[in-house]
Amino acid sequence: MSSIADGTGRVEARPASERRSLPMTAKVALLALAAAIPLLFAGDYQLRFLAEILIIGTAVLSLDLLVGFGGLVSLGHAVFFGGAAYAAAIAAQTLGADVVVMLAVGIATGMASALLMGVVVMRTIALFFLILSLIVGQIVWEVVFHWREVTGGADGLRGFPVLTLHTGFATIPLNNGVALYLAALVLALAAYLAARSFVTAPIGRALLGTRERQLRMSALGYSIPRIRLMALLASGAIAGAAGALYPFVNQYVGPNAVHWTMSAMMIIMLVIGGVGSLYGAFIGSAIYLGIQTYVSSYTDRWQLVVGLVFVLTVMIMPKGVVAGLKAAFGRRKDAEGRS
Amino acid sequence: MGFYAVQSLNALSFSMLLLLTGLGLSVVLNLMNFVNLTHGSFFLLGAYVGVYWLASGAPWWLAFPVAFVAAGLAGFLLERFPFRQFYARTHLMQVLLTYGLSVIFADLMRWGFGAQILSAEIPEALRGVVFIMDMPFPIYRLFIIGFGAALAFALWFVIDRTIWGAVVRACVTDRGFVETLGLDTRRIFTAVLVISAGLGGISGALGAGILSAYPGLDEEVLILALIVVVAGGLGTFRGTVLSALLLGFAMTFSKVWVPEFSNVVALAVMAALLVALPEGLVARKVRQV
Amino acid sequence: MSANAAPALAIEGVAKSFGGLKVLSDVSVTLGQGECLGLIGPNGAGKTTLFNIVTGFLIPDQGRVALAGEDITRAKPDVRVRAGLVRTFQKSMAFPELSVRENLALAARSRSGEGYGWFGSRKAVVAADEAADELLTRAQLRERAELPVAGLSYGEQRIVDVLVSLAMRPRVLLLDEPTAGLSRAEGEHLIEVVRTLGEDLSTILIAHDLDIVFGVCDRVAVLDLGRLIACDTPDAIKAHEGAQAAYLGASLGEAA
Ligand SMILES: Nc1ncnc2c1ncn2[C@@H]1O[C@H](COP(=O)(O)OP(=O)(O)OP(=O)(O)O)[C@@H](O)[C@H]1O
Ligand SMILES: [Mg+2]
Repeated sequence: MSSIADGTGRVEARPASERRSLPMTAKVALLALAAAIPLLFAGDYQLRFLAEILIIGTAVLSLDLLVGFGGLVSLGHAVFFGGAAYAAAIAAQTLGADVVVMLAVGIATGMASALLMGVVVMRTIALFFLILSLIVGQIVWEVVFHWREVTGGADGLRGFPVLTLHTGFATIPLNNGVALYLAALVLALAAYLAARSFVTAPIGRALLGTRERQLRMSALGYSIPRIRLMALLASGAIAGAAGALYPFVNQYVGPNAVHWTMSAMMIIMLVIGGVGSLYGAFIGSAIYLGIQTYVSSYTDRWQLVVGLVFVLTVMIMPKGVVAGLKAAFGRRKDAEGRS
Repeated sequence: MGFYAVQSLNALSFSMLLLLTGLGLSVVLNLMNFVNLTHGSFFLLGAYVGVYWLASGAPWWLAFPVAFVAAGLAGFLLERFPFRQFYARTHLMQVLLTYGLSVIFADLMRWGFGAQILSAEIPEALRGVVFIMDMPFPIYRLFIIGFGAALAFALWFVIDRTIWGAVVRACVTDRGFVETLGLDTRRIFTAVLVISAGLGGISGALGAGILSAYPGLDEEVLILALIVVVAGGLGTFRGTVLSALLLGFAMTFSKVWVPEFSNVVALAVMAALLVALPEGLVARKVRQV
Repeated sequence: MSANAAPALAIEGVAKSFGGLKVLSDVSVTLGQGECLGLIGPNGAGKTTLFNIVTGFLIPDQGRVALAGEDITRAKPDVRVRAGLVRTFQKSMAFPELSVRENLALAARSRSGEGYGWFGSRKAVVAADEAADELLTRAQLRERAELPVAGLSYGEQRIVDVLVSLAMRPRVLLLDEPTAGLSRAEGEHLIEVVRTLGEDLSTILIAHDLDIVFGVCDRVAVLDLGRLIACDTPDAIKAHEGAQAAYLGASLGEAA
């Protein structure tokens, strides 16, 4: 049987700097510049929107670890993210919304749900993994949806204390667009570096090995469950960190955050951005949320647009839009060079 | 006693809907090794067709063949493009393509049929109840059970007992070989997909009588059908039947016994099944080492 | 019996059926320390199945398997590997898209217990790469280190397969038809690599090329229809009638 997850996300674990011409420092400088531009031109609303893109992008990044490197296509990923979002929202009401505390709560929740998921799905692969993760996710959704006293049921939770950052000198409120954008930026960057280090470390290589040839990996003395569990925990931690900030962007978290359609949305984002590329998570999240926000102000048919973009990506750019466009441009340059 | 008999019949009628929908998925997976997540869209299309047909005053029993034809036609077109290009691709790519298409169709149908819930007008002949051990039971559900069982049996017979089933299965194993026998494999695959889509349409038309038709029904049905097919062991006929019964009964009786947690219980049953049998109820034996 | 005196590997009364098909019945063989044991038999005799049982990919219906005196009949595959029992597969199983070095390094890290490292594992990565390069140098494949395995010739792929196993520094190595599909010269080179690189190694070698088996093995076991019909020195096997019959006329005497 062909496995559910080969054919996409052949990933170079080498740092990009080795492959391309720009030196590392120049790239960092460019990136910093690009990140600073919105601060100059974007209003509060747009900055919050960018923060949302970065936060959801971070969750998608954590999904990329599983899909792109482990071949584990999960339809229950929203549980890590949404579960952490609920945990942070609930904890904020009693503990206050110190950003460090929130992140700790989120990461712990993300890892705990990953552990739960891991124990259940451990022995399944391919479509069986897909469906079992979906079932686990939906069980959690049912609980969230019906446990009104704690989760607010269908209405979700609103109105949290202001997210704050305690430094040695002062307490900074993170309740405006600029602060939220910067916080999300730091989160996204840290998550990206953590994910990058994961995939280049021995554990990441081992995970890639389990995707390619499970039998061979056991014959090399690797424990497949252990590798999977570690990948799930890493992924859960990152998704949990993202989830912890999510409620504070729109001052709301609802049961949709743990629904399987949220997981499916993350997969769509991941595929549009490029499976196994890590950075693609943010591109995909920007494209999806961009369509959702801006197209929906012109027409009700934004889902049609998202669907079309997604299907076209799958059909003509299965490695994601960035790789696809790059390849298309490369081809044109080649053609020009030859003529 | 009568209560449980009626609930069992309820469960059976629901299982039958799950089975018919699951079989559509299962047939393409089993015979063509293709995962088709647009199956929920075929179901919903069939449901809308059923609702409109039954309201139109035309002979009611034609609703089912018409739903079959409508969904089958959609399947025929999709098979031409883009499914055909994806037969040789991985399951992941097939899942992505067909899920994306189902998102598109969901929005198109919301556009065309509106966002409201349309319930089907059950034809005169099937309205009313019969009494089973002094408990009333809707005739329409009996009709679903009978019709569904007949359809499932016919399908099983064709796949398992005739040369046609054998030919299609041979196509998956070795397409080139079947072609050297002078058979056009493309047409065979088209036929299987049309039948599968048509089955989805018929299930939708049948189901509309109890579930109605509304945006989102496609996804709900797709998820249940997927669970049935996968937990059954990926496209084995026997497995699909067993797991449709299991899910149908689990969902019906959990609603009876623990109404607040009914979905949690039903889902937990299926999860437990997959934890215990990671390759589903009836695993296909393949040598791995 | 002290652990030192125990054979490297002992297979006792192993039986296995798949449904109604009896694939192995009552097979007992021991592999001495440092010994090379040939395992031959016609297609479908059950040779690979025996390997699968010894390495934990299958659990036998009956019988037991002991590694250096320790019962491992029900141990998980990865546990056995860490105890020094390593195998190759009949079909090449290197990772085709990873580089040759990365393939060996995966094994080296597993062997050093650093296969699951994340933060601060730079050292382990470097050490494993060095170990890989050293093996490659000794096998005269150093200049292939950067290439993806899929880019090598078939003969080189099979050698890489064996090198990956050697990177695990096994005490017992099970080779399942490593020379199948290779030319005589390539096959002999491969065996040479195993002999020079594997120190203190006890080996079971499955091969259909009887020249190679009789040339390098200390003893040869013959499996036919799941039964062990002979286990003796190469010369004795060549003269053994049952073994001759199992190979249906392909005279074992001529092969050597
Ligand atoms: N997992 C399995 N399920 C069912 N039958 C199996 C399985 N593994 C092996 N067999 C059967 O057991 C018999 C022995 O197979 P095995 O692979 O051990 O033979 P072999 O001696 O290695 O042959 P070859 O020289 O062809 O590699 C064959 O008939 C094979 O079809
Ligand atoms: Mg064999």
